[in-house]
Amino acid sequence: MKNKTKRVFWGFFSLDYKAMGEYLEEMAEKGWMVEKVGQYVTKFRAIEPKKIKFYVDVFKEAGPLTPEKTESSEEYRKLCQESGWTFITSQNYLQFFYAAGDSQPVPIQTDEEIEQKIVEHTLLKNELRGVLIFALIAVYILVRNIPLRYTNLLSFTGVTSTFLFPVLCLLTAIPAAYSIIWMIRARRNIKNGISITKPTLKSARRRIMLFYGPTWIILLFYFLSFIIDSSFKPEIAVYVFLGPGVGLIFGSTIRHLVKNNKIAKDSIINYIVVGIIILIIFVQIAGRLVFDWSEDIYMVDTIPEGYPILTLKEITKESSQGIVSREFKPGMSPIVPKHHTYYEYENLGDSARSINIKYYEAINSYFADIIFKGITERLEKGMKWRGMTIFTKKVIIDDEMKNLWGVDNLALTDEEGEIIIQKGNTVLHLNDYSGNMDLNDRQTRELIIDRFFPGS
Amino acid sequence: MDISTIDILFGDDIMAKEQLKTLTEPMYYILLTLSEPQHGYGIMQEVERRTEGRVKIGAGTLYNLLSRFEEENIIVQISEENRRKTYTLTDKGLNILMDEYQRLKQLVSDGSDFLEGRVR
Repeated sequence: MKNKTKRVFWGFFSLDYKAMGEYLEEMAEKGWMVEKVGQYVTKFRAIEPKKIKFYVDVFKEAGPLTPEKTESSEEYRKLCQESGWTFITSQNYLQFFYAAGDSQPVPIQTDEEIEQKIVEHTLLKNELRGVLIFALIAVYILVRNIPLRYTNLLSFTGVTSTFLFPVLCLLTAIPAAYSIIWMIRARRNIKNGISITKPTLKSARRRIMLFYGPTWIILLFYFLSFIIDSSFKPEIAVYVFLGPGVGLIFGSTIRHLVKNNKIAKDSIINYIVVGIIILIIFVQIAGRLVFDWSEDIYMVDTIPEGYPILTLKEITKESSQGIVSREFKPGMSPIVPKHHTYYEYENLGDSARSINIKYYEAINSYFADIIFKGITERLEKGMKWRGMTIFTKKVIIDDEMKNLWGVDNLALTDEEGEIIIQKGNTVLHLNDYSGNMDLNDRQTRELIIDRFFPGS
Repeated sequence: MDISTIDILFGDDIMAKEQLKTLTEPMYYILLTLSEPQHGYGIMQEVERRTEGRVKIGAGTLYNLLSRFEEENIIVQISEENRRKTYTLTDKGLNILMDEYQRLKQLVSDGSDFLEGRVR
């Protein structure tokens, strides 16, 4: 039993610190003594089941970026020790103490008004700061994704982000709302000479379930989406994990060094700034390397069944004269179960010709319509590069041609050989760079309709 | 505890000096105890002894009050041994304590003029 330990998920809101003691007492009665409290995991050591008193206090001179042991924290803990409370561990501002079950030590805080002020200056501020940073990121992401971006509909991760990220944002409002309610109640109670309401373990657990239950489900969806997407685009997996992965390692290292007095508190900001710069450079370089590899990953010679394409040979009605390279990228998502990109390039020595096909089969015409509009808007907007807008195209909506082709939406661009078509749940974006395809030709029209919109 | 006193302790009130004239019971006893040099735990014991267990000050509450008193130059640290700091009152602290004592005396005096005859 001596060395037996276990780790338990620790999801308590920091403002529920008074309920933590009750939980630790419950665990001690079951034979588990707390050893270390982390952000999300708490380590327990097996003991003989017994009654132990716990006190969780808030120490204003501690914090996420303050060493575990400082002169002031040692002085404070010694004072607590002398008054009958033995120090166990700390987690940011929270300090964990215990005393024998049959002892009657004076509570560490005997003035609720001072306690409430300390909590407001530490836990509450910390909680609201975290929520504010997340809110800023969330608003940025939400604004970027409104109106619905069609590119987000093409991958599992994109669809999960589109529909579940707003829910995740709403969930973060729970701790923020609880913090504000706690503050209002505590202030009102103090003003009326009533004790600050002590949260029960039951209510604290309810909050954990309310916040972490849906959060874990959403994160599970993200994880599964990510796994599925990775099977189609492995380079994305590397790239997506790169930023958070490097950031996490860097953040944990800084925190570890600070907590163990290896870095002076005054110079933390310098380390963070340098770290962010290194992270950005690292991600940029790695991102380029990753996307360079992707050039070769999807070159295939055979196209799977059910993925319609048009070859240069079919358009030009000529046999190949040069070296042909073909690139095929399939993909799927819950909203667009089948989509692919096909690119064919023929090097003719002194010249070259190519064709680019993007094909989307959405679950219904509503999403197909979003994809069609998204593509045309993107072509009109062009690309932003070093403060300039490049590759903008003029999009022409041709209703006469639309009726002739018998489709729901049809657009041309000022680039000859480029057409975007939507019919039912299917969208096609075809770009013929060979200059051989005549979109006004009946045979070409029939070829495209038969190939990409069969049965119409 | 008077709300303005707490605000002073946490630096929320610029009228600190004026309003510190009103001390809470634990603050009064801490300063009273520090008329002689004393360390943290000694203060806790002494306050409990003087008040016969009526006023008990928790270690966390005491730590916060001592650190703010020190910042306000009401008390001063005179020695440290094995992370145990010994404090005593400054002249400013003594004046505050005396003012509070006079105020309390005045309250008792005013009360006795009016209430003494009514008390059986």
